[in-house]
Amino acid sequence: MIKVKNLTKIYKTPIRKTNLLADIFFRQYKEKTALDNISFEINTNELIGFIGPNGAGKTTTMKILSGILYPTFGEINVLGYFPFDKKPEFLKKISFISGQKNQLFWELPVTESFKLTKEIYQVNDSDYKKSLSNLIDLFNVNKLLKQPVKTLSLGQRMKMELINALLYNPQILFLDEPTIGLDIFSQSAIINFIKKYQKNFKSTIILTSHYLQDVKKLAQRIILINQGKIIYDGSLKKLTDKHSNKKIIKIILDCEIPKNFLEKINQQKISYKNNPPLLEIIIEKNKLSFLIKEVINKLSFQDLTIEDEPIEEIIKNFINNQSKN
Amino acid sequence: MKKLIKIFFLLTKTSIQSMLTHQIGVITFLLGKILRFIFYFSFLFFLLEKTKFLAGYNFNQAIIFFLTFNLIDIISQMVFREVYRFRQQVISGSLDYYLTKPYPIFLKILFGGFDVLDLITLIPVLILTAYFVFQIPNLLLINIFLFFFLFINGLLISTGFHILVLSSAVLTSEVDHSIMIFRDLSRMGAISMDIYKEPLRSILTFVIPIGIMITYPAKALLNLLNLQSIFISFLISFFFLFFSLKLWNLALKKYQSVGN
Amino acid sequence: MKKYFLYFKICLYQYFIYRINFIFWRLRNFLNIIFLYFLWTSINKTNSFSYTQDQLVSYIFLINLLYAIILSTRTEEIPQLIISGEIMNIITKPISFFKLIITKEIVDKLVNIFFSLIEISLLIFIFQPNFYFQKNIFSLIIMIIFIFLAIILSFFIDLIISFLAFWSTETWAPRFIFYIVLSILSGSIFPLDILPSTIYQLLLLTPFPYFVYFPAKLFLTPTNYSIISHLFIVLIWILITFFLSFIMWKRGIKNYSFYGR
Repeated sequence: MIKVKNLTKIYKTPIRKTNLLADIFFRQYKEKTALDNISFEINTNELIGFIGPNGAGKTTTMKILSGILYPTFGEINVLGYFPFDKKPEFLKKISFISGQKNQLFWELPVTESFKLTKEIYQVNDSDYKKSLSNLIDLFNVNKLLKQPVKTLSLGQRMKMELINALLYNPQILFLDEPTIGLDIFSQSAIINFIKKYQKNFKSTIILTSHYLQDVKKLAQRIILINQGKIIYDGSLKKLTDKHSNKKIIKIILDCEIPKNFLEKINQQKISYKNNPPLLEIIIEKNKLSFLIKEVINKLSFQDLTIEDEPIEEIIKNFINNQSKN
Repeated sequence: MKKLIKIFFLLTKTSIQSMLTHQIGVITFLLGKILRFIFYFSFLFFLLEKTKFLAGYNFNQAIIFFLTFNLIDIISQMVFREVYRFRQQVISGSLDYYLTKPYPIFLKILFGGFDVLDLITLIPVLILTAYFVFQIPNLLLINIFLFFFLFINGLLISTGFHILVLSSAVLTSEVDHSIMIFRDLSRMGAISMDIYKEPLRSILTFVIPIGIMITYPAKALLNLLNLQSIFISFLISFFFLFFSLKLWNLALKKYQSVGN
Repeated sequence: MKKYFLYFKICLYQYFIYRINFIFWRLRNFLNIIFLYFLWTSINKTNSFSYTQDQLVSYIFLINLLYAIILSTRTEEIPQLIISGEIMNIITKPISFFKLIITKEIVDKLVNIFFSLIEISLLIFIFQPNFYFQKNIFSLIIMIIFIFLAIILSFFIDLIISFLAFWSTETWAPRFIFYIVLSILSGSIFPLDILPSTIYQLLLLTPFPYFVYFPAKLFLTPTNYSIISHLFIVLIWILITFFLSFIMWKRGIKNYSFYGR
């Protein structure tokens, strides 16, 4: 469905120095390689998470796949089309949403924007009614339909944007940071919605997000981009299992930590944080059973949790390791 | 085709609805435009009362030039009002959305902001024009036909200019008011090109085709054009429009978007 | 004091950061002068005005220069500061808001004057017109006094229009009307005394002619002591506009509230 081969995108930006004359007459340009020879394939009914640091190239990739930007080099095939050509048949099958950016008519109620979308994508009346009522119910926004978009909160607006984008049932949905800046309720509502939508409609969804918990919930497969290169393409679980050998143990203590416990810990060079009554220990998996035995034998505690290393840490370390090689 | 017309109507409708939420602004703008027209017209009137000829034309003839300029100016603003909002759409990222919509993008960014208010100022100008046209001695039907064709031709050139403005905003969203340069240039043709000396006159008439756009329709009415000029004017407008479209396609390829 | 000098440099730099924007801006001024120059030189071939060809040419160049000195302003940026709430950031700093505005105005006027002079010189070089120069020292001194008064008057009126933003989100509309009225009644297109006498006299009671037309006229025709009455009119307008802008500022800041994004 989506085939990308040797895609490269180079930006040219002027370098601004503080010297006035140099800037006017001897302006220099800096070439930034946003995407460096990347290749990947995406099939139907996949939900892909594009992750990576800011400026890694995620949004650039999305914009090239949806036809907004022109690639410098490379072959791109989306649903059999070259996106930049912007053939109407192609555009009717995709949807592009950018978090915090607004495409609904600001001063008017959302229904006006929906009506326009219906005409643009040539949705017939019965399909439109069905889609619209389903989506409105799913998001529970029935009461908000009559007021101007500018009076809606950010979370409500994002829901409306999603409804607007899904009215015509696109085959590919590009979501660029859809939950950025949202409160936790809106965030989870949108994430749950995306999951449900994909299950029901079997569309392909490409998502970029800095909230890795969201990515974990949704994406079966992630593509990790750093400095324009793909450094990982596969399942998120495999990545975390393979590259994290740490667990975090959080203990709520009943008493002070006995000295013999601390000695043993320090002997094994295990790192910990002590904020009484909370004791946090970061430990490699192979030492886990040893530590648990020590904890049970020597400590008196109210509560004990064993967690995986947070995804953010795993990914951060992975990226750093890759950069070093 | 039917779909495009329907989309155009919806875009216009939502544009008008949005405009109506700014009532004070709308009324003030209308007032300002009417005032401006009255001022300029009275100025011309006073001027030509004291001086019998302006650049070799008498009052009636000068007024025809002035009114033709106003017609093209008002109709261009009315049809292409959306271009005035374009730079904001580029820097806010809205342009990206328009690029992914399955209809010709010019329907939105060029024609999508039809300004009904300008219709209000257009009607009195049309009436005045009709009045003064029929004051022209020895007016033949052929003159009126030529006027219409050259007027359409002028609007084609205006379209080309507006596409150039759009391209400039895509290539470098630096420029704040490139559309205002177009307005200044067109105003330079308000009282015919004959006030200018060569080579400025030729440059403004043929190279930057303001002269063809604004003064040729009036000249046709006043029987001042030969066949050769008419033919050249159509040729130039065709190439000008062609060139501006090519530039637009180039601009899209160089487009870098915001917030990457 | 140093902080204002630094602000001066920053403001100056902002003009040249966007090269094409700057060129287009100056081009607009250049085109405007060309248009008026050709319009009036061709009108003047058959005229019955009280001005000679030389004087009209001088008038056009002078108007352009005076526009740069008197009417150039950056106060139109104030409404945006008010509406977005940014003005609160400035007020809460140990820095005078008005001194900042005035610094920005000075930079704006200097840039406008400098490049206006270049464009006028370019035109003189290309077209080699004859122009008239006032030799009466008294007239020149009076003209300079009126220029200063005009700068102050224009500043206060600009503030009044800008402070409307405290009460309405329509920023462009009032300024639009003002500019349209100003473009005609300030004499920037034609010398105001070609209008019929009663209209002309009435106009002289409003502040508009004093921005640009009046100082220009002082350059072209020597004055007499009837100047005193006009001096009074200008001073009264300055007082009125000063008080209005002062009251608007005080009230506006007191009742200030702005909506979240």
